[in-house]
Amino acid sequence: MNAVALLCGVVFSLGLLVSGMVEPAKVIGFLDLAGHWDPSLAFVMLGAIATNALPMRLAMRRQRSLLLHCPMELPKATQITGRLIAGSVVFGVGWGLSGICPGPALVNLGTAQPDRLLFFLCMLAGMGGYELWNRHVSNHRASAAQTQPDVQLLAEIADAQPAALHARLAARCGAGQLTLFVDTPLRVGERYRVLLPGQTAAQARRYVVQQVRPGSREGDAARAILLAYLDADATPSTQPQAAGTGSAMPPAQEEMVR
Amino acid sequence: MFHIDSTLFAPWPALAGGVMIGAAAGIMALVGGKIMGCSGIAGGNLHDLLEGIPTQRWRWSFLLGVLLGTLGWLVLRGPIPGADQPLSWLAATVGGLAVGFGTRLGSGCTSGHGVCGIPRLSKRSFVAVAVFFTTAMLTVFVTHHIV
Repeated sequence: MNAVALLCGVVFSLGLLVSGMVEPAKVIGFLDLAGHWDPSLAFVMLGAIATNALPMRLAMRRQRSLLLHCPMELPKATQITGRLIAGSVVFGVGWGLSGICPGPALVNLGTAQPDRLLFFLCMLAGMGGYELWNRHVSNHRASAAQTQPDVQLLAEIADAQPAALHARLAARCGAGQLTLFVDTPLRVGERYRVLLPGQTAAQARRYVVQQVRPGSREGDAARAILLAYLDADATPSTQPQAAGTGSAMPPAQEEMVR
Repeated sequence: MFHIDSTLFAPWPALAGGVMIGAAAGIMALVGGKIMGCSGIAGGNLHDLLEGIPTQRWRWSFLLGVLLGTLGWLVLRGPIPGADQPLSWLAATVGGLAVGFGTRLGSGCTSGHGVCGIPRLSKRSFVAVAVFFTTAMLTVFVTHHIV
């Protein structure tokens, strides 16, 4: 794996050098539609995406990687989040100001220019700043979760022994809706009997997982937030409606869990 | 509509470099099972260091490979292209901070969302690429034509 990563790093950096991606002025020349536009970098993206298309599609079908049998660690997140948009806006501003994105920032260290070193250090500081901010937000969420009462989820599996999962109650809305902090990744559509504090097993009601939100880091299942709906004995007519309303969580509780 | 600068326009090196970048990303995905995203690789190890958990060696190997490739170029081909292009103080500091913070918040950069996310047909990456290209173009418009 390390040899493959090393080789990929070498080929990647040479690709950046050959293509002109490492030149700040060339990148800005591409981004400057209103000036003397230099469309070269569109060809970099085209060439890269076209070349990667087949191997990436093949990789996505695999359980283990080719030759090395490494576990596949391709992203699983699918939700468009505020973080994704805000992060891309901030990155776009930085890229437009400097003409340098993270790969070329590394290669540009080879210029031995103080301004490129300054850029690189500031980029690291930005990444470190994100980690500190994210840790602060996560700790805040975790402590909020810790003070909540415990909930037991009993999986509804026909013949198997029901597995008991642990969760914490974040919010309740009306009779049929719960928001939970969960440590185990749950899938939308799964059904559980939820044993609330003080309830006996006989009183536990059935819920269906309606929405799962990412935890502290995107794609991180830990501390996911689960929105459950009372599964009204699986009456089909009520379910599409619940699924179709999108963000069914009332604004007040949205605030609470963030 | 656009005024294309034919003295700067160099599609063949761009395409060749792009193919190399795509090949590196393809090998990383197919043989390594990993996404070749620079911000994720650098920032991921930085995250592990700050959290006090073991860093991932393949990430260091990749970063070392990038530096070795750069070194190879310096030895065999000469200076890094664009080394003489000045970077303003503002671009280096604010630009660097924004690139670092933004790529981590947005879970990816040009390589992760662009080169890897688009071939995956990831909805998130399509949105991210559209947003950061648009924002970068607007930023250049403001800094080069308004301010």
